[in-house]
Formats: sequence, C-alpha cells, structure tokens
Amino acid sequence: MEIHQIVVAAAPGDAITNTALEYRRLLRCAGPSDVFAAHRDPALTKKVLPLAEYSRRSSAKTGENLLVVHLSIGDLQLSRFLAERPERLVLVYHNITPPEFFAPYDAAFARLLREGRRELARLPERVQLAIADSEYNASELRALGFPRVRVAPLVVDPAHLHAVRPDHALTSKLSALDGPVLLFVGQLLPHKRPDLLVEAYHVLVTKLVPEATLILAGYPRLAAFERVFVQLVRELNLPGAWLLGGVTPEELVAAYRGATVFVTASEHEGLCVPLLEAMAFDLPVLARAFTAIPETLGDAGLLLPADSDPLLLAEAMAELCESPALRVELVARGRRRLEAFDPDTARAEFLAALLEVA
Amino acid sequence: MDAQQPGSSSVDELVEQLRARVEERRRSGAYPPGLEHDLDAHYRHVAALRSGGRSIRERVDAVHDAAEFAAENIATSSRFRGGSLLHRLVAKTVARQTQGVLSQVRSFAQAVQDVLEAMVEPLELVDQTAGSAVSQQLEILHALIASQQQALNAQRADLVEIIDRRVREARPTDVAEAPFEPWYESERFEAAFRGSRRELLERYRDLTQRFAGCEPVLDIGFGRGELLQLLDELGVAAKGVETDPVLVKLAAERGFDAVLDDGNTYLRTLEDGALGGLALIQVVEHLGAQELVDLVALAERKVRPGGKVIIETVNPQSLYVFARSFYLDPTHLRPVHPSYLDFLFREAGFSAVEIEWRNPPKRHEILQEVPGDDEAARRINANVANLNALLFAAQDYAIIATR
Repeated sequence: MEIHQIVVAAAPGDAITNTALEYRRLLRCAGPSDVFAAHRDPALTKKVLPLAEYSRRSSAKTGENLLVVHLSIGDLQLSRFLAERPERLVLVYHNITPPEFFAPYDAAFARLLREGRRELARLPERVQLAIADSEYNASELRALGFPRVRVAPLVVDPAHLHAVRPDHALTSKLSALDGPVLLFVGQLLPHKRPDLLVEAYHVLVTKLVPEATLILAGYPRLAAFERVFVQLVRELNLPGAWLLGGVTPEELVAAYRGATVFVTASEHEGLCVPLLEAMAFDLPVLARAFTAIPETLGDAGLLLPADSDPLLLAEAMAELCESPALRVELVARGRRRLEAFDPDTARAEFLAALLEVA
Repeated sequence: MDAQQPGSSSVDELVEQLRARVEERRRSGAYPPGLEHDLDAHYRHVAALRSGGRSIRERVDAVHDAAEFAAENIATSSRFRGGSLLHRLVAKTVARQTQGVLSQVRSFAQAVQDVLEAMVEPLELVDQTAGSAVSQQLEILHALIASQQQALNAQRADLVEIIDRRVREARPTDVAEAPFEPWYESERFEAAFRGSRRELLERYRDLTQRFAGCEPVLDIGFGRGELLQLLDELGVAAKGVETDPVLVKLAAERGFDAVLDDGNTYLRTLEDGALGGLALIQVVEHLGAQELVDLVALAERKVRPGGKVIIETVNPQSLYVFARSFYLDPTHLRPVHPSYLDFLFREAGFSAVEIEWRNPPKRHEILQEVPGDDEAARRINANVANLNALLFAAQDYAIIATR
C-alpha cells in the first residue's frame, strides 16, 4: 500500500500545493509518495505529476493504495478520476470559497467553485476520513454528512520566513515613512474585502491619522475584481495606499518587518495563514469575526464584530496606530497563540489522523 | 486594554469604546451623515461600472441546477387517509413507465443543455473579447484625459501667472478705473466746486443756442440739469442720461425726462438717426479711451445728418487747469486733447467740426504785460504772451460737430 496525494491545480505559492508538498515530505519517510494534479503550472512539472499518470502506476493496479485528496474547485477530470478509482480516500479540506463572492466578477470561476462544492457533497460515502484544518471547516464537513471528521492544524512554519533576507528597496522605502504602516497580506479577491479595507483607510487618513500608510501585498487573481478595486483606490484618492501585487518572499518579509499593524477585513477564511505569519513577526492583528478567523486568532488580536463598517474599522486602526500599550499586549498574546500552531505538532497530528485509516 | 485581564471581555470593552468614539464623531459632525453608506454606494457604483452584470453563463448554470430529474422528487404525501400509501403503490406500479419518461426528459434536458453550452461558449468569447477591447479603450481614454488634465493644469498655471503679471503692470490704470462710490452726494460736490446753478445757467446759455432746430437733444451726464433747463427754455425737446441715481431723481422731480443709464449703453438702444442733438458737458474727461471712440462712432450713427454734437471738456493745453481744477474731481480719468477730439469727429465723417475756447482765467490771474514800447518791453511782453498761452489758456473748450 502506498499513500499518494491528489490536488486539482498545482501552482507555485498556492497554499494547497505547499501543504501537499509538505505532507509528501512526511509521507516519503514511510514509503513512496507523490502528488498528482489535474492541472500543473509549468514551474512544477518536476515536483508534481499529471493525474492521468497515477493509473499507470504498478501500485495502482490493485486499488489498495490510500489517496489523500485536497479538494478546492470543481474539475471534470478529477470527478471522473474519483468516480472510476476504487481506492480508499482521505479528504483534506481547506474550505471552498462560496461562489457568491465571485459571481459578479467571474461567472466561470464561480461555476468551478459551485462544482467543487457539488463534488464535495458526493464524497461522504467514498471518504474514509475527512481532515479539516480548522474547526470551522470541520463543522461544514459534518453538516454535509461526513462520518469521520478530524481537525488537524495546517503545517505553518514561519521559521522559513525568518530566514529570508528582507528586500532592501522595500525596507528603505518603509523606513523613510513618518507615520504608521498598516499591512494586509492576501490575494486581492472579493471575499477578502480589500474594498472595505481601503474605505476604512480612506476614513483613517482623512479624519484620524493622516500620515498612515496602507500596504496591500497579494496577487490579484481576478482581473475584473482588480479593475474594480484599482478604480476604487484611484477614486478615493489614496496616494498612501500601496498596491504591491504579488510579492517575493524577500518583499513579504520586508513588509512584515516594516509594518506597524496587520489588518484584514476578510469575510471568508478556512484558516488564514497570514494571521499566523503576522503574529510570528510580532505584529498586532486587526480582523473581523468571520468563519475561521476567530478560532485562528484566539484572544490574540483585536477582533471586531462581523458587521463592523469602515468607520469602526478606521477607529480600530487609529487605536492600534496610536496605542503602543495595546500593540505590546496583542503582540505578547500573538506569541502565546502561535504555540498552538507548532509545526511539529501539526505534522504529528496529520500523521496520527492518517494512521487511523492507513 | 487591561493587560492584567486578557481575554474576550477586554476586547469587547475596547470595541464598545471604539463604537462610542465613532458615534461621538458622528454627533460632532466630524463624520458627515451617511458617510459609510456613501462609501458603500460608491463602491457598488464602481463595481457595477467596471465588472459587468450577471452573465449568460450564470443563467445557464441556473438551468443546470434545475435539471435534477428524479422519481424521488415526486411527492407521495397526501392529505387523505391512506392517500400516501396509494400514491406509493401507484408509483411502484408505474415505476417502469415513470423511469422511462424521466429518462426521456433527462435526455432532452441534456440535449438542451448541450445546445445552450454550445451557444454560450462563443458568446462568452465575444463578450470577453469585446469587453476587454472596450475596457482597454476606456483605459486609454482614462490615461488620455488624465494627461490632458495635467496639460490643462500646467497651462492654467501659466495663464494665471500671465494674468497676475498683467494685473500688476496695469494696476495704476485699474485703480483709477475701479468703481468709485463716494459717501457724499454728487450734487453737494457740484455745488461746492462747479459753481452755483445760476452761474452755470449763464455759462451755457450761448452754447445751448447752437441746438436750436436740432430736436430731440440727448444730454449725457446731465449733472444738475442746467442744460436740460436751458433747452427747455429754448423750446427744444430734450432727454437726459445719468449714472448717478440721486441726480436722476432730482431731475425727474424738476420735471425733466431723465434716465438712469450709462451714456454709450443708452445710445445703443436708440434707432439710428433718432437724435437731432447730443450734448456731453464736462463728461468725456471721465471716459476711458475705448469709451470715447465708441461714443463718437455711436454719435455718428444716432445723430441724423444736419444734427449737432456738442462736447465741452477741460482744456489740457492750459496748465492752469491742472493747478486749479482738473484734479479737484477724483473721477476725472484723463483730459482729452482738442486736436484728438477734432480728429475723431472728422474721422467719423462729421461734415464740420469747430472748436470754441471757453472759460478763460480771470484777467487778474494771468501775467500782465509791462508798459512801454522799447525793445526790452516788447521782448518781455512777447514772453508774457507765450507764457500766458501756455499757462493761462482757456480752461475749457467745446467741440461743435455737425453731422
């Protein structure tokens, strides 16, 4: 018996791909293990194998392998594969963004998300074990009728970021600033609500802390939403809002090191890794209480109610910018909170969960 | 936040404080009413403009979702006793037929979906291509407008600088031409410095005679209305125009036909050839250069052939005038040289222009000749005559131009 992993699409920097590669490292300690993908970015053709290749494996003949499936979006190739293969399945669920967020901007992608959720609904009978990386994700799986659901935290290891040398250009740009720096890290997608963030920032700089800077670091994966967002920033006339787009690890580290506060207005997160990275870089966190954010943050962060509008967000930003005592308190709590996400514990919990069915 | 009591309660307290601060800012007016709604509405507006509406694809997806045909979806419940059982029995009996029908419906639905898919794909392609082309053009336009705006701003800055410079350079004239609104009454000023009404009536009686047979006469800047009275006495119909409302009111009270208006403006309202005579007594020294040339051109049009224009003004050829009277009136702009006025009327096509020297300085004010007939006395007296001509020429002159 071998354990292999299946992902829909493998891309560099993608959180699911990174998790699959991290798990592969663990699984290879026990035996042959590979990652197969229905779609592969050219940069990953050596690390990740095409899905069609799995069936040609000699170990696949008996159908006794265990397949770990990371489900994200719907894909016809994956659906057929799962329907045809007799192997026992373990589902790793990072959540699927509700398609409603995308419908106004990209109907085709919204459809893929919808099909991903349909695929998920077909799986409870096939799956031996479902592993969720947050209690929020686990509750969704239970509601769909998955009989065995376990929560195992994602392997988040900010240590590798600490080893990265911060980008010099961004560091010097940030150190030249007079005022506080608010940082958001995450893809520029509708459910992350960067629009709300810049509206709050607009209120902040026009009414409360004029010298503040807002940095948004994250790849804009949706052209239609990017157009809307860029237009909004332009119309609100915010020269202090820096849209960095996709960043290198060096730039990301420079941003984390140069920021005063980490902010997000996101409305949907299966876990939200940047929150943990921000804590690892001693940044106080400001967020709104949606989905898995409260359980990820714990008491480490200024968590605003879900219905917080840009005015309350701006007031909280101002409080964090201007109250060193509050920042110190939240940073201390963040360090304590990170202990719950110890990467070695997370690895052990994943393996322990797999052992139940392997 | 209290560092001794970490936990959600202290965060809740902080959130409440933050909420209270937002409310306080609202009350104090720091936040305009409905700020958050305005921001939200603005975002929706941008999103609607830049992202496009509900796509055909979404509508086709809705068809997909609705095409879940299954025998289980046919209700078997019933309000009647045993009805449910009966439904299930019937359903079981006709299960084969039901499945047959469902299978046909499924095939049909699949065929419809396939057709829709085939139609949507090229449509989406067109939509995306056209959409991106349009948005590309919009981006180009946006950039163009922005660069034009910058260019305009730069030009505007240049213009503002040029205008500022011109204003600075032209300031002396501008100050003189700025509206003058004294708190004293013009009539009091005229009474104090121009002489009594009786004196003026005497002074202008002869000049008025020149208007005999030139009806109607328009008197621009009639002042206290001496000329109007003299014309009335002469039996010549006349009308007066004045820019000072008090003087207009006084003239009207005396029974004269008086209008509150600027002379040139009023002239423009008249039909060509409507006037027999036009009088401007001590007025043109108040006019700007352009107003003066406009006045002469208007006079040429509004006074009928044979009619007369009489302009009396201070004589700049007399230096005595500048020492005694010209600067007494703060509204005097510049004296008009008789040769220039003569030139203007001739250029405008008037048939005859004559100049009458008026109001010479009193005899005791001018330089006196020395008695004797020798060479020295003759030289001195020649010099005295030259100096008198230069210093003590007539204080006023009148142009009498015949159309």
